[in-house]
Amino acid sequence: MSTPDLTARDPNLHVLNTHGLTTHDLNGRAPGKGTPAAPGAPAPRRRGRPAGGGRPRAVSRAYRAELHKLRRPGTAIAMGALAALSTLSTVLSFALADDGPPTFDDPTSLLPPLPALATPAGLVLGFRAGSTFTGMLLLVLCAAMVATEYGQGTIRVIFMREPRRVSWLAGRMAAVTGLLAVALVGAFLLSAATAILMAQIRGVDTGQWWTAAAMRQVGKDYLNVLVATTFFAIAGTALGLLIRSTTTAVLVGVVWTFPLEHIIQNAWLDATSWLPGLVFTDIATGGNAVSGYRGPLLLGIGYAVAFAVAGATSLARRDVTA
Amino acid sequence: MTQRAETPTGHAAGTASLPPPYPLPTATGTRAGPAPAGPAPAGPPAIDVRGLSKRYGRRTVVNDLDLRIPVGAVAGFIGPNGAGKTTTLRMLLGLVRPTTGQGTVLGHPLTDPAGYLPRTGALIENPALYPRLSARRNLEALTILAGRDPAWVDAVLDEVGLAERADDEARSYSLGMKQRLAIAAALLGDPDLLILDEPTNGLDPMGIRLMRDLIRGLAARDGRRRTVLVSSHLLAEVEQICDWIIVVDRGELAYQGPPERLLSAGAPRVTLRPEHARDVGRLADLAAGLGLAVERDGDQLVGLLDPPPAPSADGPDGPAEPMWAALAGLNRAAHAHGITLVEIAPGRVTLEERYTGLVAAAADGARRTGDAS
Repeated sequence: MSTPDLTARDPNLHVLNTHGLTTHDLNGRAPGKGTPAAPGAPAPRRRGRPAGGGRPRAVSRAYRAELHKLRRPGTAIAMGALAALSTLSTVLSFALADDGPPTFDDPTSLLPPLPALATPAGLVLGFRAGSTFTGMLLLVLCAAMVATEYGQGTIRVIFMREPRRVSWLAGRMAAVTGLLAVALVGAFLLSAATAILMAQIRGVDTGQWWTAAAMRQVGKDYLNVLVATTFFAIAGTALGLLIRSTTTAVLVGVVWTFPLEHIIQNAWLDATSWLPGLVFTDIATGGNAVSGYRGPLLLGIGYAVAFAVAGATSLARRDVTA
Repeated sequence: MTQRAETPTGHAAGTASLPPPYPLPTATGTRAGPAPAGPAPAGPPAIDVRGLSKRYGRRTVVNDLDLRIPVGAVAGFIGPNGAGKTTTLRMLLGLVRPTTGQGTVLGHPLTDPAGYLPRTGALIENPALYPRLSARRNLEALTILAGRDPAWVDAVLDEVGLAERADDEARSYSLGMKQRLAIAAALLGDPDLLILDEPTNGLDPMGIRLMRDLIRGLAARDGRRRTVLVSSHLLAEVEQICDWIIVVDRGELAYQGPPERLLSAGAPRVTLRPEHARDVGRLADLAAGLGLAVERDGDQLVGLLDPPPAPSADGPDGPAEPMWAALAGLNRAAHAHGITLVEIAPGRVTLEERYTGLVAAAADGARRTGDAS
């Protein structure tokens, strides 16, 4: 008599675990996986409960869950767009640079002259100039992402799992900021590589690019761009939370940051020192000739806090009817 | 021709009087009342909320609703469109802030959803998913967010029959599959309380059957007393699987308690068939004379026996003396008039009929109140 093949899977042989859910068949295989589970593999723990975990743990879980969701092609496309904008900005900085006096220390000048590109800041000038566009891109993306949670109804599924709404928002913003920091590193590296290539094409002397002063400038500019784009991201998220409609949030974000602020700026020169989009841009470019750096930074922090409070209050207080 | 007889009290067939409130233990003890049918109310209710209201401006969506659902019950939540069912469920889930009301869910205050939501699974309205994530990754994100064992993902995917397509993007799913995925999300972590809002929406007949079996199975598995609150328009489904019924209309409670109690309250249904179809009219007159509300339905009479028999101590299926007495009286009268009855068939009123009666009665009441004011 032959020995029965105990490894042959009989789809009808299912056992219920102690929780009643079919998790492993009699052959020890986890359903849907096709691979045998280890003998005596534990059933899912019923009490992996978040209750009582407190807000820090809720923030941590939200952070990890958001990162898990962001592992998708759309995120890579957004990061690629951000890098492409930086690269494009670098290409234009070199291609359109003329032989004027070095005005690299005047960040209000969008494109630097050729001599400025040969200074220690030359490596990052294109990246810095592109931060205006990356910030606006972030604002629109964040507004759309949050508003889409309402549009798709996924916000209610989230809050049924994590009712501490502000903790969830904090975790989400931490995930977005973390990813943004990584994306900006990638954008910077690509922009730097482009700058080296363009410097050769335009015959720019890169001798000062690799000094200690230049490296400090790189670190400073990266942080400025990170802070500014984070503020843009906070503003965009608040916009999405307040408006809750993807189309309207994106429209308001685009109209405000692109034409509206610049129309106001044309009519009122001091607008650069006060309007949030322009203030965030000033931070990214290291300040301006009128207000310096400290003024825009403090005002930018104030705007970011105000946006964060408005968004969090809306999130916490308003009914979820999505 | 349809003949319709009404009782001297004017009680129209199909309308129902409400049974007395069903007794449930409260934090301060058990209220007195008749012996309960349905789930045994041991311990505090799974859901015990009082005076729940939600107003948007001047519009009242839910008005002073008291809900008491015993632990272990499979409760059907029914009512017409716009009756306030979904708003009520959203309030229980902490998504919508009640205008007034207090109480507990799974022993935690309604004002502290963080206390009870970790033990609650829910599906509200249409399935909400990330379309570009696979089913598995949708569930993994929720598992991480809730701090649960990742092994639940495979378990629930298998439970709803989606294991084979777990790695496909959710946007490629049919409506029924999306609904099943949303139910899988609700099942993550083996909740003590499951709240399902129209869970059979978009499901094919096999999916509906799977859902019915799932709900039945959940309540009965491994000796645990899970509570299921399911809102549905499919009254036949509710009647089959629920041992607790809540009827709301215009945001107000019309009935809550075991279905047997609702079905046995009011008049039971009876079918009468004479030997000759020509006798149907005369038989209807005799029935009307005896106070029986009947309608002609082809060559037979169908109606409700009124006044309603008292609920039997042996339960809804036990003998109900007044009903038999009324039927015996009609049989004797028919025989005396030369009519031979070949069928006297008492039967249960369906939930649909009783529900229709309740809603119609509530509408009448609302209309009268409006007229009076």
